[in-house]
Amino acid sequence: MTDRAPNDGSRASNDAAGAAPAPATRASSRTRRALTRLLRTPLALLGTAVLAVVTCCALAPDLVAPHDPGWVAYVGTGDGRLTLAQSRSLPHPPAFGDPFFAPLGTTAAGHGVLTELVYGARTALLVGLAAALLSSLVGVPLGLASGYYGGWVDEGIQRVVDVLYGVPFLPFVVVLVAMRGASTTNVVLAIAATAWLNNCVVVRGTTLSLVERTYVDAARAAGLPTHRLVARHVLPDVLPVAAVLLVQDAATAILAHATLAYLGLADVTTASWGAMLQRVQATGHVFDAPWWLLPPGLAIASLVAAFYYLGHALSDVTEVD
Amino acid sequence: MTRFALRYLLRRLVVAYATLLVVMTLLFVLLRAMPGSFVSAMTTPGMTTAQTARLEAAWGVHDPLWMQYLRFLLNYQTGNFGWSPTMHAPVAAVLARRLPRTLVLFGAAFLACYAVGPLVGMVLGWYRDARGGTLALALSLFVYATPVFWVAWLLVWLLDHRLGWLPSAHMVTQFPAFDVAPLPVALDFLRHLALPLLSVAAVGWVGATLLVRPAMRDAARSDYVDLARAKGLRERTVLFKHAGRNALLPVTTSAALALAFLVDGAVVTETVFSWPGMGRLIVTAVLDRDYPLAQAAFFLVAVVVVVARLGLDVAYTYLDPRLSFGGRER
Amino acid sequence: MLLRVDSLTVRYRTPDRNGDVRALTDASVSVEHGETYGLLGESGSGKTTLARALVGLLDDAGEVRGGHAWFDAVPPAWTDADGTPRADVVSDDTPVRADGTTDLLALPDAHLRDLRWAEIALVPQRAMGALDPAYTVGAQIREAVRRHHPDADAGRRARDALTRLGLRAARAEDHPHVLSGGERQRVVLAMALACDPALLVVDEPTTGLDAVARDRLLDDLASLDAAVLLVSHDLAALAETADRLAVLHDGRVVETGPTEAVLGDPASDHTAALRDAWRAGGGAWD
Repeated sequence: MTDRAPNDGSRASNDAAGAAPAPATRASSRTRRALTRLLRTPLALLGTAVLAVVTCCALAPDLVAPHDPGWVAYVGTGDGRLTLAQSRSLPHPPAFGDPFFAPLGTTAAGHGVLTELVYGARTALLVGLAAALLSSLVGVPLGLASGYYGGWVDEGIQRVVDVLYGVPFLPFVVVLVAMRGASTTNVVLAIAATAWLNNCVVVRGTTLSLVERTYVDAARAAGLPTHRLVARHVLPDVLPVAAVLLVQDAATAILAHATLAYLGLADVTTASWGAMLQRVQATGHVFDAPWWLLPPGLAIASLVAAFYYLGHALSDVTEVD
Repeated sequence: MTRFALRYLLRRLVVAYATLLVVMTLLFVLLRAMPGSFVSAMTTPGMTTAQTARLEAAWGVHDPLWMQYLRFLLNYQTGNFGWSPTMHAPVAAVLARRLPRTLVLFGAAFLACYAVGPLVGMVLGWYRDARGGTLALALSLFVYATPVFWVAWLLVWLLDHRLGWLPSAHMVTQFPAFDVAPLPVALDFLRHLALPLLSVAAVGWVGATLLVRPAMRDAARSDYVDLARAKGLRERTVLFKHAGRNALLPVTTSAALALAFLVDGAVVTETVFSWPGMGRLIVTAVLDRDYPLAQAAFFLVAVVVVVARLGLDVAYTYLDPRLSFGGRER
Repeated sequence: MLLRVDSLTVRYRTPDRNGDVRALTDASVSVEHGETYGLLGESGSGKTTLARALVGLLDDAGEVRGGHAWFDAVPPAWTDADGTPRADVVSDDTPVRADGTTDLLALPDAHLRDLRWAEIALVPQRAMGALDPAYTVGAQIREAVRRHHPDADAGRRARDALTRLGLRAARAEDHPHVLSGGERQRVVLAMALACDPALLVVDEPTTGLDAVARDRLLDDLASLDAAVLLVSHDLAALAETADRLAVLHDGRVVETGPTEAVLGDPASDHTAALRDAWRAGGGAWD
């Protein structure tokens, strides 16, 4: 970062006076450099790999899963009923060949664990990305405004953030979801309602440090309109920070959703990993069906960790923390 | 300096109070914004019209909204939290019994996380370019990514079901009445505390680690570390006494985040271990639609968080000599 | 002879391997007991590299590729009770010689650390910003004393060192942020003096000081009993204080000799150019 500073100064003052659109090339070449560095980071590769697998599952679960979601051990997808002996043998550990084939075993209802796992990917990804996007859409602009304008705008926004920081997150979401209903949309809204705070604070800090730099000052002195100034000189440096926050928010949201599902506060009719764990507990098989207990937990941890890895690799290559 | 101290403390106090006002307003609005009347959610089909009317009168739902709001604020600030329909007891009494139990769990977990986390963060940040550094970071992040309740289950399975070392439910064993002596009860309590504590701490320490690690990188590049090395100090002294001490500062400022994590962890862990504290109370009250209890419990947790943040703010000013109560804050 | 650097070569590794940078090539200088020796060079000439290589504090990319630095002291772990080097460590395979000199560049890390600050103190660049903000000035001085002289009265040594540099002894209880830049610079010097080293390597000490603080610091340096290796791009400062001078250019020592001789009749064009630029700015020495 430091070795770039003098260049930035001179170039920025040039184009503030109407010369070549340097920041665009600066931003894009930096993006390219960051991307090549990113691809050399083992953490980023690992994160991307996990994310790719989960995305495949989310996009085309029917191609990945061994069965469709309606499949039940012993009877398959038909209308057949389980005999008493058969239903007593459920949940069933992994078994190959006859009478059925469920690679990771079955749940107490006879569904394949792997099948449920694959079909749950979509919810996890959706919750993570939706909550992250939403909290970025609120937090980043407010943080930008707060850092750029300063004064009473900053004071106002930061006091609100200060106050909201005191609201305990999970209890708040519990209350919110309980009162508004446990749909996935509500869960996402509830998560985003608290997650934007951190984005706002961090983006404000970055913006503040940028505004203090000479090239922004020069551009301002040259009379560049505010929106162009922000778009050209502030946003390119804020975006990497925002990207890091985005993946971190996604991770937090997925974990929060799983936790809510465990507490019985998520929509149990849509397939999700949290709901799987909740059913393990509800049917009383936490300690005797490891083939059922372990995969959803590992899936959650892997996806969340993948987002963390990406976030850390991103912050390493863009030198933000 | 004292003037700064006073002004700073005053500002933090105002923010803390405002936070609680907002929390109260939030609770008030949420309850009123529920589809249908929130009283109807508490009525059961078997209730007579008179009973329903009495309930409505008790909640004052026919008064103008502003009056309800003011009464709500007033009641909450005077510790009048109402009556819990499911516990058949004053809410305040229920809370008074539950809060200390949560504080014990919280406090112990907080200490455990902050004894381990920063140390690991210092080492990881110091050796961040070393071969094992990335692996250690990846493992820490994976641990941080696991759902707390799931880790709790695994720990229970291992330490209770397989090894039988620790009990995994409730806060104390039911002692026969003639067998209650202080020491065995205390030991029994500690044994019951161990697993919930372990579960929260097993995941929670990473939060502190992640805060210290980047700060440690900056410290490692700093001139004071260079000078400390030039002085011939041993590497361990440079790491912990100089770089580490300075890298701790951001931890206290962001400890609010960690605190939030612990609150969340406590809610979940209390549910897993049937620990009769505030977190579990909120969940059961919400699920049982005992709104007076849920509201007040939530409010009390908010109070705890706000007070703890206030304490951390003050601690920060002691840790950083450059900053006497916000005197040179930037 | 206190320090004799023999054809020291240092290079910096770059990420793409073949682009390694040679920071120093066959540099040789020697410092006598008690003298002030100036190391003159522009930024990038390798003077800081030389200073830091002596005490083993090159940054991670730096690598000593050849040469010796014979220094008139033996690590305490390798001496007998009377201070002479132990017989079993003196050999051609070890960095210790029978005359009590040690090759700093070949010393294992732990032993070099024992010599740092105790015998050879590097006062790094930007020293005024190098105090640890978390501890009082006195605590940091005492820490250094205790590290190398566990039996000494650290508190007294700290106060003595501070007063010797014209700071009130009570300053010891202050945190660095309340001191001025010049005061902090002197605190770092005091920290070195408190351990009584034979050689002080001072890297660019005048940067960032105002004229008064600068003159004061140069006087302090000139009045020390210890030898001083003064590394600077500030020709005026060296002309005032240095007994002898070495001029570095592009990683090579282009000229050495008594200060007056070097500046009066430069043997290299580079030194001449430096001197003329300085004279044009009104510089002179007496």
